[in-house]
Amino acid sequence: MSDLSETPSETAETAVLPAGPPTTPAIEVTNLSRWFTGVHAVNDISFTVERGQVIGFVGANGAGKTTTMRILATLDYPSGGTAKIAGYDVIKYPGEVRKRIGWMPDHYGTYNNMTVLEYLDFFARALGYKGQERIERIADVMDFTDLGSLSDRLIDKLSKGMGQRLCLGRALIHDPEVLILDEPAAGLDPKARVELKHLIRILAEEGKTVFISSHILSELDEMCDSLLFINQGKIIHHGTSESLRKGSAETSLIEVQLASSPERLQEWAALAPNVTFKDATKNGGRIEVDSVDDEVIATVLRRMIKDDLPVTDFHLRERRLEDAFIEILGEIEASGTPIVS
Amino acid sequence: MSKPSSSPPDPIGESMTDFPARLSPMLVKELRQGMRTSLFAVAFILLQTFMVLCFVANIADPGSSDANGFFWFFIITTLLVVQPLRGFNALSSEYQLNTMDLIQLTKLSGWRITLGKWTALNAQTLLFVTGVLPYLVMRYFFGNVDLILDLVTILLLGLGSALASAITIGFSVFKNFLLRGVLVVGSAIGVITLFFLVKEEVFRSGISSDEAATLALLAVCSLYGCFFFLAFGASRIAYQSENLATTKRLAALTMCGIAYCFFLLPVDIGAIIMAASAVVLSFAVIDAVTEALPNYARVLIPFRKNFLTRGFALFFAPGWISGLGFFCLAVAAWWAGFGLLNLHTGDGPSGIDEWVAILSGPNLLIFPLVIIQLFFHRQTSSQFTFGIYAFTQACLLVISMLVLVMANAIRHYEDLIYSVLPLPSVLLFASADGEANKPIFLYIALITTALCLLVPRIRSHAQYRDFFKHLK
Repeated sequence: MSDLSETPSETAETAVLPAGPPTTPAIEVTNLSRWFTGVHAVNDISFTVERGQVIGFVGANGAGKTTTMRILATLDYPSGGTAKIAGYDVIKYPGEVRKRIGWMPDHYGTYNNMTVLEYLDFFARALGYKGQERIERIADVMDFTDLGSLSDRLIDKLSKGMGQRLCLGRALIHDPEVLILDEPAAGLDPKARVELKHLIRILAEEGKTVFISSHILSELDEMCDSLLFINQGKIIHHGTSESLRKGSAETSLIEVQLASSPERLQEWAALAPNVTFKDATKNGGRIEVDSVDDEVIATVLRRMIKDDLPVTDFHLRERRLEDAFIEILGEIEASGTPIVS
Repeated sequence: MSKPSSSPPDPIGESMTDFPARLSPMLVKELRQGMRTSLFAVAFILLQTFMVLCFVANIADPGSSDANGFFWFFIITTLLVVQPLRGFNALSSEYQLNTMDLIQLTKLSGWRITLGKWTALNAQTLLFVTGVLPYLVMRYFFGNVDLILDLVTILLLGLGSALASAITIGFSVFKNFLLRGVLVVGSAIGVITLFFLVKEEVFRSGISSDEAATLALLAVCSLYGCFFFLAFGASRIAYQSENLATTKRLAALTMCGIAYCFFLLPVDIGAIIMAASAVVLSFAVIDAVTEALPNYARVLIPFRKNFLTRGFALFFAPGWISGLGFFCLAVAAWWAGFGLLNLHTGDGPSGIDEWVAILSGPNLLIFPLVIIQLFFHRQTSSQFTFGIYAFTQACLLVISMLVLVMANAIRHYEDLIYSVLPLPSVLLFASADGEANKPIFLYIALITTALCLLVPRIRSHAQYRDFFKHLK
């Protein structure tokens, strides 16, 4: 990453700048709160994101996602608590934080009467790049986001997907360590979504920390190392999608396809230990194993084959993330306590 | 990124060298955008067409006042109306397009954003002026006109255009179209009124050195005006940890000092000097007392050094709290000028009504704060808006006018009306009518001053406590 010198207004900040150790977490939020008149948008949340992780930030509209992200991007102020990016406090060292983040808002901003190249050139100049370095940075970004063929096209003539790629490119001009993407896939068609997902995957492989919010849980599941659920300004779950799917269940549901009738599966399940037949399907049925231990499940499946059942397919039936999310919300409503793992 | 290109394609490099790297990014962006708009092209072509027509008319009838009038009408319209109005959406459009956040994350400060937009607009104005210059020269050869006078007029119009553009760009920070419109129209009326008042004063004095000194003072004031309005807009788009307030307030006091230097010249423009300093300080005070409270954790760091800097913060730190401190300083500065004027002329305030006016004038600027503190208290923290101040001031003006009409209609009740409604504007009207010559009016004015300073202190106790906590 190139060295961006501080603006004059940040001289005082630089003078008392702590060393930014590379071992500090990429994002560190401690007891963060933000309240507006009559609204508690973010309520005492804490979480940590390690460097190189891709974290999905999930929540309903008005849950506090955008407020949290704006605070992390130094665009808003916390009413209480602290937020740090790569060890730098967002209030005390906004200049240092800005060097390290790439921000992509939900309603991305573009200009009329301006070409793709001019747009990127403006932000490259505004970030302090000069001469050959500026040209190289823009070329890199255009290459990465595949915008080379569109360089002379006016921005208002771009499709939503192209515009979103352009905005991702803008966020990457200064090669930030942490990317904060607020609903980047909102309003995109399936093809553009796949392209965007692909670009984010590449960035993750390159070791960038990506903090991404979305309503589409299945998409986040494919991209993210872990998920952070927020509801009414509070963190209600932080963990991997696998742990979320498993939840607090003590049994496993397996869907089995057979070359014969489902009755054979039902008969077999009645005699097999640890197994209960749940229901029949068109070409088989669902059985419940009274354990979530992988070894026990493997033993059951081996026995099924060994007992000559004409199995054509079987797979572990996992909870959908959406169901898990709704379930967590239900548990919170029932107990009144957030579940944070 | 995964695919870094060691040698970028030539077309990219070539396309990006149209403007030198040392130019402000905002200027480059605005020029690229602005010169692509149809309004610029249409205005340029229309102006050229009218210039040709006026030139032909001048040839047909040399010295014709009609042709001359049209010639200047089109130039004035372009420079003082069309071009400044192009800045009407300059800053608000960044909010509408959701680009303000993106710009703020770059190295561009609020001031550089605003200055870039203003410079770009003036660069385009310069293109218009350059396009007009050949016609000026041709008029000289064929039209029997004074070329030097024409050039001076163009220069003054250019300065006026720069000020008008600064006003529209500064006020374009408000997202509310109506507020922006009212402020721009109000400013236009104010500038035109001021122009005619000064014009009358210049002609009345009838001395060339006075006229030159007045013009010099107005030119300096115009330059300060450009700075002020740009800084006004810049401070309202700036990141909450940016401090533009100190510069703005010091600049206002410096401008006031420059104006007072004209007392040293052997000219008789004391009234103009006082009027100019009153306008400069009034705008600075209004700006200071309507500033949102910033992020003290960041902006007060430079003020924490020692006892002196902490004292300095009471008048020059960002936010309306120190804005009230600055108000006291500005009043003292204006009274100091008033003292200088009295030394110069040997006069002084002769009656109670003059003292009432001297007190009520400044009160007029901060009285809306009492209303805001009492009825819109929630708006006094980070969401403090200039709009509420402007609205309150407008309402107070309307009430004052009604009181004045009533007072004129039932003269026996004047005392009662003026006493019951201690509005600074009412007291000023009373003073102007010579009706405020009783001590009661002076007491009312003093009580109003105390109210203006104490009510915010009491109602916003928590904000004051926060300010002093961060100053320690």
